[in-house]
Amino acid sequence: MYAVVAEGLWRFFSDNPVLRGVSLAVEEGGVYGLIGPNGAGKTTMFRILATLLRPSRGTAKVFGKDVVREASDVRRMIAYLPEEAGVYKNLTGRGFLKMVSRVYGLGSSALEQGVTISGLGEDVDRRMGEYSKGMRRRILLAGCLMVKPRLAILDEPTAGLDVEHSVYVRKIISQYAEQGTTFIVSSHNMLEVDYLCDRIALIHRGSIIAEGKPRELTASHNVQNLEELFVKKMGEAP
Amino acid sequence: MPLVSKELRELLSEKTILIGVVLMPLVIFPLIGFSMAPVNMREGDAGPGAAVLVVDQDGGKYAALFVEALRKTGFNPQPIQLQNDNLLQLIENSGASAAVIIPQGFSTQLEQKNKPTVKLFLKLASSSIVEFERIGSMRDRFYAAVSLMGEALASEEGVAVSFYKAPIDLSGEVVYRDQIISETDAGQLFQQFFASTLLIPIALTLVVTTSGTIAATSIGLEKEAKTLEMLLTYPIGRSTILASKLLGSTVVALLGTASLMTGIVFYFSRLTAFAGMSITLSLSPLNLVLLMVVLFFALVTTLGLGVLAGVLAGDVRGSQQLAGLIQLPLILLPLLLFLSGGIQSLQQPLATIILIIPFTHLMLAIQAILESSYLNILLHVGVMVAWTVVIIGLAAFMFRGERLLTMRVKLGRRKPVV
Ligand SMILES: Nc1ncnc2c1ncn2[C@@H]1O[C@H](COP(=O)(O)OP(=O)(O)OP(=O)(O)O)[C@@H](O)[C@H]1O
Ligand SMILES: [Mg+2]
Repeated sequence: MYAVVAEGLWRFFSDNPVLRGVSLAVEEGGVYGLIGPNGAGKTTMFRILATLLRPSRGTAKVFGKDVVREASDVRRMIAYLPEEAGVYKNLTGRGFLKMVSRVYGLGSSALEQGVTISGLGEDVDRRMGEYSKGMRRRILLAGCLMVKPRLAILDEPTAGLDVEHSVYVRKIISQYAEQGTTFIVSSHNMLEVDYLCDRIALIHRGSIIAEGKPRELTASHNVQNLEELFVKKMGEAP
Repeated sequence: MPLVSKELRELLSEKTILIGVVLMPLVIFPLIGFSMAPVNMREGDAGPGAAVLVVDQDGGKYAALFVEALRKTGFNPQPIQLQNDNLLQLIENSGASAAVIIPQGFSTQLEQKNKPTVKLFLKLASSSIVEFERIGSMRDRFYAAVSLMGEALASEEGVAVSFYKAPIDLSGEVVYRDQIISETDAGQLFQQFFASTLLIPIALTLVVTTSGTIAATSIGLEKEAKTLEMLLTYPIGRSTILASKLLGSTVVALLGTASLMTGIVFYFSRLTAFAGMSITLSLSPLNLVLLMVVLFFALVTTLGLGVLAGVLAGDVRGSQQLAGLIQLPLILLPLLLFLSGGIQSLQQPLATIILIIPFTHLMLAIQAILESSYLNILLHVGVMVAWTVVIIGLAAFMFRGERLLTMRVKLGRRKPVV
């Protein structure tokens, strides 16, 4: 079973084609990485998968459900961490997790699970308005994972975080991937991609220009690491 | 509804809402009350030297003492003789704002330690809030004169202490438009005035400006804090999200209404010294229910307008500005109608525009309720319901699909698109 299948996906903003015929298949289990330069269309792709935007052309399915026609079924299976997502400043971390668990119709065990995932300790009872960027990211990630989604869509989960918070977030992602959650993440940090991802797709100007396992891609392109692969592919691209 | 409590928490912590909707009305009315009082004094009418016609039918020494007490309290007593002509006309024609009749046997009664009754006429120049306040304070001053008289009497011995405080009964009447009306009637006049001149515009302005702005703010807050995207991917219908926003905004709007009403009541309690004046509206239960129905639809309509503003704007400030921009003409035009005194007096295109606006029908419906003309109520409520359905339908339409994320109108400064 594929977690994500996209076929010939186009998306225009007025006349501007941001996605140009993206086709993608993400197998269930593991971490799938979407990498590419700024403005390549990663966030747009994620928003379509998260049912927030409609594709202009083509289809996208999450576990066999169409993101447009069966959006509410899709929403029940996914959790989405938007790029630069914010928090409700006047809720405590625990209050936020409680709201999420009630929205999903889950009990207090899910809530406790969320508190554990966040790893925030006593800070979970502070107002989220007082949280640092790292703490915000962790509480939002906890909100995503505590509901046990089949697919977690994380847009730059560690962007702007210090080493300690980044390491923590990566650790949680690996841990949940091992337990069977499928992840699709984007990142500008190639070390992180190398560490986390089982498969990657390189997207440039709305098209996928390389796809495969990181090891195989670096080997076939005769480069040392993903960073070199990235630079090489960008140089080749039109 | 886990989302409603979140809405409430976020809205009530938002400074603009807390200050503008909840705290402001509590402060503003007492403030108006205090700032108005000195202005009245300067107007001279009720202030030092206010002319009072004195009809002395007694002529005794205590009558003279009472006139002296009036003078000491700051009145300007003007003795007149009352022939068979009308006291009313005398009051109207003179510049005096009040008149007293000291009855025959006034002094004798006081000597016998009985309470004589002095007739008091207060001139109400117009049915306006300033006038009601003015005659209220004038009445207070007459009582002050009476107790001053009591002090003078106290210097004479053998009188019970309680007698000093009010040795004279004042029987008050109000002169309004060449007619003498009893204080109870004046109270009713006040109620009528209160209901028609104050309650309608206040309720209208209140419902429109606050609740719409609140709904707009609740969406603006999500956009500004960048929490909207995540919210929209939760496994709940858009209609649930919309409903919880409407419900949360309603609760805050009601809180604001309560606060404003408290402010008004506090302010008007200064006037209730004037006997018979109470601001309890004499509405039948049916009319009260109808009034609530009308206000409910007005509320939902404005909430819908606020939602539209929130969807279109990018942040809290933008959504509040846009909500204001949408609401301002919608409220000002009906108010114009209200002040100009009827739809007939307006030019044709303007009249048509005004008749399309839902809040015109809010006012007309309230008027119809006060007049108990049920056919008109039905008509105006019908128009309002139609509007409510249209606006909420539009709001729900805006909430579907990706419009919430991709629609933007910009006021002033250009901002980058998310
Ligand atoms: N709502 C929108 N309206 C108009 N254009 C948009 C909109 N959203 C995105 N775009 C445009 O689409 C292009 C791709 O944007 P997108 O956010 O998907 O890129 P990205 O790969 O996520 O970039 P980054 O690495 O900077 O996050 C950009 O040129 C952007 O300006
Ligand atoms: Mg992006």
